[in-house]
Amino acid sequence: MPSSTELITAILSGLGIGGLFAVAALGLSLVFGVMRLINLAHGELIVLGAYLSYSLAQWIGLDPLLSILIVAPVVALIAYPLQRYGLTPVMKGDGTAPLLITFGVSVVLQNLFILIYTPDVRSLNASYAVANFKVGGITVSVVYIITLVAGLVLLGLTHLVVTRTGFGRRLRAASEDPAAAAVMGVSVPQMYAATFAIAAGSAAVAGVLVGLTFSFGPTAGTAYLITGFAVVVLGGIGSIKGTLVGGLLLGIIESVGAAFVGDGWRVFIGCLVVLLVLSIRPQGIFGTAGGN
Amino acid sequence: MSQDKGESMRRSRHTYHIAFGLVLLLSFVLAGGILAACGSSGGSGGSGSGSVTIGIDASMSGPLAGFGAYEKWAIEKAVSEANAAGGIDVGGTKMQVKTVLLDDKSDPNVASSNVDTLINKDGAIAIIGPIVPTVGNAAALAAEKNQIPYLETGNPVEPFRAVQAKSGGWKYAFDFFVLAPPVAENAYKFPNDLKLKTNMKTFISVDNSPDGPVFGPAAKTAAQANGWTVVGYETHPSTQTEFNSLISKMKASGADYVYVLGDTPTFIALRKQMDAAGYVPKILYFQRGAQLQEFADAAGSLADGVTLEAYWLPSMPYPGAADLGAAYEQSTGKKAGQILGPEYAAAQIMMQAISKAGGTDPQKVVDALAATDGTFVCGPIKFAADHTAAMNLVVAQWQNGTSKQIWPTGSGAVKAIFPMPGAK
Repeated sequence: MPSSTELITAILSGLGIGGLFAVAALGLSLVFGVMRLINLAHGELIVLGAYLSYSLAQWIGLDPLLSILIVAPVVALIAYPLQRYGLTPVMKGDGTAPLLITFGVSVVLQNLFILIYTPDVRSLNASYAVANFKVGGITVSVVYIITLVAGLVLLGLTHLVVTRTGFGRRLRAASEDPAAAAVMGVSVPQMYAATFAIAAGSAAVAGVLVGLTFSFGPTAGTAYLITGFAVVVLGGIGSIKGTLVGGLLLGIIESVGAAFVGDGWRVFIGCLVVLLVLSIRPQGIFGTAGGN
Repeated sequence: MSQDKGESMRRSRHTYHIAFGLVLLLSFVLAGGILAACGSSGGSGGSGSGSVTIGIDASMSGPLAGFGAYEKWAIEKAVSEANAAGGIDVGGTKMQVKTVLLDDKSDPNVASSNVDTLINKDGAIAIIGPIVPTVGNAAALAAEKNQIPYLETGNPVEPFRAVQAKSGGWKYAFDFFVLAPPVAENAYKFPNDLKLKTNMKTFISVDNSPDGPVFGPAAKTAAQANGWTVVGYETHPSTQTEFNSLISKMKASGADYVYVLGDTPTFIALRKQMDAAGYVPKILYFQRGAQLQEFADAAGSLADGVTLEAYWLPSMPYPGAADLGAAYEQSTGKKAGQILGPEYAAAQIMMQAISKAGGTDPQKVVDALAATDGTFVCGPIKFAADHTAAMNLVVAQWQNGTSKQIWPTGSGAVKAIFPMPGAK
């Protein structure tokens, strides 16, 4: 049995990990919610963000967190034309073609990473990534505070944009009824491309956080794609609120579970709970019965 | 009619979308394949007149990619040196050595398939296998099935032996590397020999790779034999990067010495999270994954003070060791990794065996391999009847981005950093 200190530490670190999960899953949630597209290159966009931040650190010594201001827009700018001119033309089918294309993009990106950066494992280093402070007898890792805050801020902002702005209204219209939205003057292809770009930008942010907290290599994206799916499905497809709650919940469940039965069972426990929740509520925590 | 026409048009558009998507996908995959192919070396394969082909399976991508890069460089260096000297003498004829390298992506299934391809498509008459048991054992089994001579290093002896232990042992595959008990013994002997003051409590965590069931018990036995109390013993998945629970247990155990077996991504994440959790033991021993320079490069100053097993360093008193290390650093701009020496030696041993065999007959090459008895750049290698050989070992430590021998003391050894920076 873990002690109370170990339990509290597990919950706190679980919240931090959960924040990172939520940021990693946000892009998947947006793209699937708006376009009903599963972006199989999402994991590689996360790793791309990490690599770009790494390069900026090497070239100009830019701090990883500050590099987000450059990395996120750059990845978004790369993603926009990919969606606008590569995916939009094939969106009107049963979804097979865009799925295959994103898979192809994933393969190309992985090999590009190997060519440019070699297969070596990398890490983003900063003093705050390994700093901590004590609250009572509990040690709190600064990096988990950062990932939690990043998750809350990014998903909160995205939720506000989607629900309270004109852009968000157009986005929701394009998502709910593309034909009707087009008739009302909404450029659905532009909305799709903008969504994809925002999703890619958030993936890049996740990449920087991953690089600070763990390590990364050319093939590291697959694990985050799978975790992202679990979070999206747990929280409810297309629900940003659900993605945040799903991420935090998964992070806490894995950490607390690991405190009881060991780190080796972390992922197993997380998957088990996801299956349990889905068996009771198949649409996810915040999903609606008919889908968003 | 109009409904049929509409339906027909919808089907045509649907077919167009699928076709367009497939064309785009094929373009991307082809581009990816071309890019990937640029990363692997190739030869024309086959053993045509004037040449023999040695197949190489290496982990050029995935978590073991750091090892694969050293393997490729070392083998190609040994082969190019042999070819520059006119080739190897095979039955009185000088023959050039060609190599064909395939990437197993750190996946045992791919490793096995690669060996089949190297033998049956590329005409390899011998195979040099990948590093670590996960992929090495799979590759060795494939060579054994094809009855082709196979040599690997970087695969600890016990996991290699265990694979064929119940089938009468290996017939075609050979392995030289470390034995678990000496590695573990050294790991728990050096603090006593160097008189490092600790509370003699140790926490052991091993991954679930084939090394785990071998090195875990060996570490436990060695710790107890050297007067240590094992206050914690855990296993973790080899792909794990989140260690808060494990670190909490280590902290709670009060151990001054933490011994972990794992791969490079594991160690980078673990080391960062240890600092972030405010826990650094006085002695931190990372086995296997901390050998690679990429560990020190990625971990930066966090690598300082980490101890590890060392089976080859350029500073070791073996013929050509220093030159090999210097050549690597000059050629790549990176520091020489431990596996360089053994992989270079593996290529030399295989070429010598083919030469001694006087031809490409698999059994003759196997017999020549079995008769290997010499001192190479990685030290003395002599295979036992079970086709294994154990290398000499020291204990090293990362200091300012370089791996240096700290034990045994004496020629080539430096003073150990103790305690770990940040340890309380």
